Amino acid sequence: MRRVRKSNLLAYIVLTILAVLWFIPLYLALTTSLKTPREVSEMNYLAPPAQPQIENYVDAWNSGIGLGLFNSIIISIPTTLICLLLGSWSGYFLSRFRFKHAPLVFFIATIATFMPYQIVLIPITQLIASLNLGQSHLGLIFAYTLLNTPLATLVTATFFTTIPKELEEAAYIDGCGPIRIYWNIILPVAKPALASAAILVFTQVWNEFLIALTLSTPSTKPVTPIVAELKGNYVAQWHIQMAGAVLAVLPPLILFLFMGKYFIRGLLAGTLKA
Amino acid sequence: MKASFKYAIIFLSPLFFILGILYFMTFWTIYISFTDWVGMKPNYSLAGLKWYEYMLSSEKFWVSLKNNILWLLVFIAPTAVLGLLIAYVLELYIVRGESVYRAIFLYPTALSFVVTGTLWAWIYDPANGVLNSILSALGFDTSKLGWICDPNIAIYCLIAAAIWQYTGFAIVLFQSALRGGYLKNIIEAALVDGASGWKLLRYIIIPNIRSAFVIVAALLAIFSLKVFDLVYVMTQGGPGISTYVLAFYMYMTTFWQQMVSLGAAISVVIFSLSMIIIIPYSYYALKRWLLR
Amino acid sequence: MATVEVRNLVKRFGKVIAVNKISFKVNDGEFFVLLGPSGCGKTTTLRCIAGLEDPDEGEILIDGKVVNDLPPYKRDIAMVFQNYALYPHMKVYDNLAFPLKMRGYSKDEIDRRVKAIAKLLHIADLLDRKPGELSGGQQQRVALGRALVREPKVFLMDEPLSNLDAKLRVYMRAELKKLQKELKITTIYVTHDQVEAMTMADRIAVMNKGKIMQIGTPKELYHKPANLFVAGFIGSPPMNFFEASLIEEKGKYYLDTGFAKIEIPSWMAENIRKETNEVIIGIRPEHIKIVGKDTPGSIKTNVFVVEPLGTETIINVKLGDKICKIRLLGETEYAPGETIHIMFPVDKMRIFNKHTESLII
Repeated sequence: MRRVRKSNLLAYIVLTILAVLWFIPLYLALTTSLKTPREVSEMNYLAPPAQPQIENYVDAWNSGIGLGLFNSIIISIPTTLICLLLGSWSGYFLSRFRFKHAPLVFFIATIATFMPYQIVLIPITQLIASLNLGQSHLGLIFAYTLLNTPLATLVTATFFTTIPKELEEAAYIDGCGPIRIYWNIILPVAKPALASAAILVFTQVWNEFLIALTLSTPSTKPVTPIVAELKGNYVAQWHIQMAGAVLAVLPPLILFLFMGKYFIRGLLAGTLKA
Repeated sequence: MKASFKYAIIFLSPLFFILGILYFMTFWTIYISFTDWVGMKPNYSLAGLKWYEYMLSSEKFWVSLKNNILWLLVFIAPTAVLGLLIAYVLELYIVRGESVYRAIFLYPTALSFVVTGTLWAWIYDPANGVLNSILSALGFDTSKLGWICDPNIAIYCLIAAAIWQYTGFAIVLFQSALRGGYLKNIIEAALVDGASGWKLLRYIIIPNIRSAFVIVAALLAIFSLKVFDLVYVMTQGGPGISTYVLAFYMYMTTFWQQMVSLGAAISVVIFSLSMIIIIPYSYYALKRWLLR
Repeated sequence: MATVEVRNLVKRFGKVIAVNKISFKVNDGEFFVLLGPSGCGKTTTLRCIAGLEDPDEGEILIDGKVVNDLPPYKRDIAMVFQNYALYPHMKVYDNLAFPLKMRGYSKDEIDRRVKAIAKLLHIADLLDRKPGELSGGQQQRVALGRALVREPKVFLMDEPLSNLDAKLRVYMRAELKKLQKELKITTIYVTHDQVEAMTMADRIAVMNKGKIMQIGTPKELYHKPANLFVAGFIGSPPMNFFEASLIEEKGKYYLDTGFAKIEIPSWMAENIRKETNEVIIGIRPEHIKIVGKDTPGSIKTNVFVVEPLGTETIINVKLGDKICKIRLLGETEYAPGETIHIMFPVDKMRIFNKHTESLII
C-alpha cells in the first residue's frame, strides 16, 4: 500500500517514543539481571551493567528456576504434541465434512475454548487426585491437554479450511479413505499451519500459572510458579528476580523472535477469525 | 464431502470425550456450589444457597466484582484504541522498519503474566522501583506516589501493565484487518480521493473495521473477567483488598481457606459473567465459520 | 487536461521485476490503453502513475512535472478500480460526494456536482441507496461517477469492465468511449482483453513480462506488429505462424515452409536476407484466400474442422503438422475432409526474424 508521505516523520517520531516505552521493561530486566547487588541498590536503573554477572543466572537456576524449566519442558512439549494430534484429528473432520449437527459441535467447542477455567478447576483437582496422577507430571499434562484440545481443534480446523478441496477430492477419487487423506495429504500440506498452532498451544501452556500453581508438587512445579516464589524469596533482590524472569520466558520469546510469522498467525488463529 | 456416521465417530470421539469431561466438570462445579464442602474432605450434602448468601454478604466479593468491572471499563478501550492507532500508523505511514516496530510492541504477548507481573511490580515499587527512582531523579516528589502500595491507584497500575502486555495483540489483529481484501481497496480509493490522516481514519477505516474491533473487545473482556496471574504476583490482592478480583477471591477461598463450596460459587459467578460475552462471541464465530 | 509521461520506470516486488524499464508518453485528451496478459506489469504501472506504489527507478510526469514524491491526491488523478472499491457504509450520494468533501468544497457546490454527474451517468435515482443494493453495472457507474466528479486531469482505469457480464461489457465499452470523447480527459486504461483495447483506444501499449512490446494505434498494431508477441496477441482468432527458410531456385525466391514453397518478390528476399534466412511467416485468418485448384502458387490442403459462428465461419486446415485457421464471412459450404486450395497473399504476409522475433517485412 502506498505510504502517505506527508506526516511520515511525525509518525516515525511518535512510534519511536512509544516503542522505547514498550522496550524499556525488557531492557530493564536484561540489564538488571546482569548487575551486582550493589549496582542494583544504586538505583541507576537505566544504566547498563559494568560487568555482566552471569552468577545471577546461576543463582536463579539453583534456586528453583532450573528445576522449573525442566518441569515446564517435560509438561509443555508432550501436551502440545497431544493437543495437536487430537486437535487436528478432530479438526480435520470438522472443517471438511458437513453433517447435521456440525454447527452445534462448533458452537459447543468454541464455548469450551474460551470459558474461564476456574469453573473446572475444582473437579480437575479431584480427578487428578483420584487418578493418582497428582505426584507426577502426568497430572499437569492431563489437565493442560483437557483445557487446550478444544482450542487446538478449532484452530487447526480454521487453518484446514484454507487447503484446497481439490487435493482431497483427487485422493478420494484415487481411493483414499478419510484417514489416509488425513495422514498423507492434510498433515504434510498443513505443516506451517500446524507449526503456528503448536506455537500457540505451547505458549499458552508454558505461560500458564493458576493450574501450575495449584496442581503441582514441589518436584513437578513448572517455571511460572517458581518465578512467583522467587519474587517472594528474594524480596527486593531484583537482580535475581529478573534473571529468573528472563530464564522463564526464554522459550516463548525465542519462538517469537525466530518464528515470528508463525507466532503471529497462531495468535490470529486463536481468535477463530476464519 | 458427505460424512458417514462411522467416520464421524472415529474422528470426533476425542473431541467429544474431552468436551464431555469439560462440560460435566462445569456442572459438577455448579453442583458443588450448592453443597457444604469446607475443608479437605469433600462434603456433598446439599446446603442450598448458603454459600451464595455468604458470598453476597462478603465485602471481598463486592470489591472483587467492582474491580473486575473496573477492568472491563478501563482496560479494553485504551488497549483497543492504542492498537488501532498504532496499526493504522504502521500500515499507512511507516515504510521501513515496520516489522521491528511490530516486534517491539508484540513481544509482551509472548511473556507469561508472572514475568510481566514480576517486572512491573519492580517498576512500581515505591521504595526501590524504577518509576520512582527516575521521577525523583527528575526532581519530582515521589513520597506521595505509592503506586501499587497505594490502595487508590494500585488497580490502575495493574491495568496499565495489562495494557502494555496486550496492545501488541490488538495491533496485530487490526493490521490483519487493514490488509484484508476489501478494506485495503477502499483505503486506496480513499487515498486517491484525497483522504489521509485523521480523515481517512474517521470516515473510511473506523466505519469498516467493526468486526476486528468486536473480536478485540470480546477477547479483552473475557480476559478482564478471569484475570488472576497479574494480581497474584503483583499485589496479592492488596494493599488490603483493593485489587481483589473474582478469580483471586476464588483462589484464596478454595486453596487457602479450604472453603471449597464458596470457591465453587465464585467460579459460577465468573463463569456466568463470562458467558454473557462468550455466547454471543461463539455465535458470531459460528456465523463466520458457516460462511466459509 | 494533461499529458502523462513515464520514463524508465522500474518496479520490483522482492526478486520479481514487475516493471522493467518502460517509457511512454500519453498525449492530452488521449485514450491510452495498457494491454497485455495477466502478470505483464500493466496494473503495476498504472498504480505507479496513481501513486499507490513507489517506483524503484524512473520518473512519472504529469503535465511535465515530476510527481514521484506526491501522494495520490496531490496528482489530480482519479481512478476506477477493478472491483469498484465503493465505500460500503455510505450511500451512493455520499460516495460521489466524498472526493469533493475531502477537498473542502462547499455543500452547495458538492450537491450541484454530484447531481450533475449522476444525471450524466443515469444513476440519479440511485443516490439514496447503498452500494450493497446495486447491481454490478450500477456499481460500476457509481465508481465512474466518483472518479469524474472531481474533474481530474488524468483518468486511470484498472480493468473496470472485467467484472461485468458479456452483454453489459459490450454496451459499456461504447459508453465509456463516448464519455471520454465528450469530456476530453486524458485516460489511461488497463485491460487484458485485446478486443476492448482495439475498439476503445487511440493508442495501445502492448506489454509482456514487464516490458513494452510495441506502442501504436490499433491500426498500426494490427497491420504492422513489431514482433511475434504483438502479432499473436492482437486479433481474434490470432495470426497463424509458420516457420520457413529463404531459398533461391532458378533465379526465383521462395519461402520454404515444408508444406509449400511460397514465391516472393526479389526486393522482399533482399530485405529478408540482410537479416537472416530463417523466418516465421505470419498471416491472419481473415487474409488467407481460398482459390481454385489451378491458381499458381496455391497450397493444397484438407479441411479439418469447421466452426460456424453465424456471422462468420472459421475453417481449420492442417498445414504440415500445424493447424491453420481461415476466417470467412457468413456461412459456407465447406465440409470436413474436403480438399481445398488456399493462398497467402504476399502483401498480407508478415515476415518475422525467427531468432529475434521482430518484424522484417
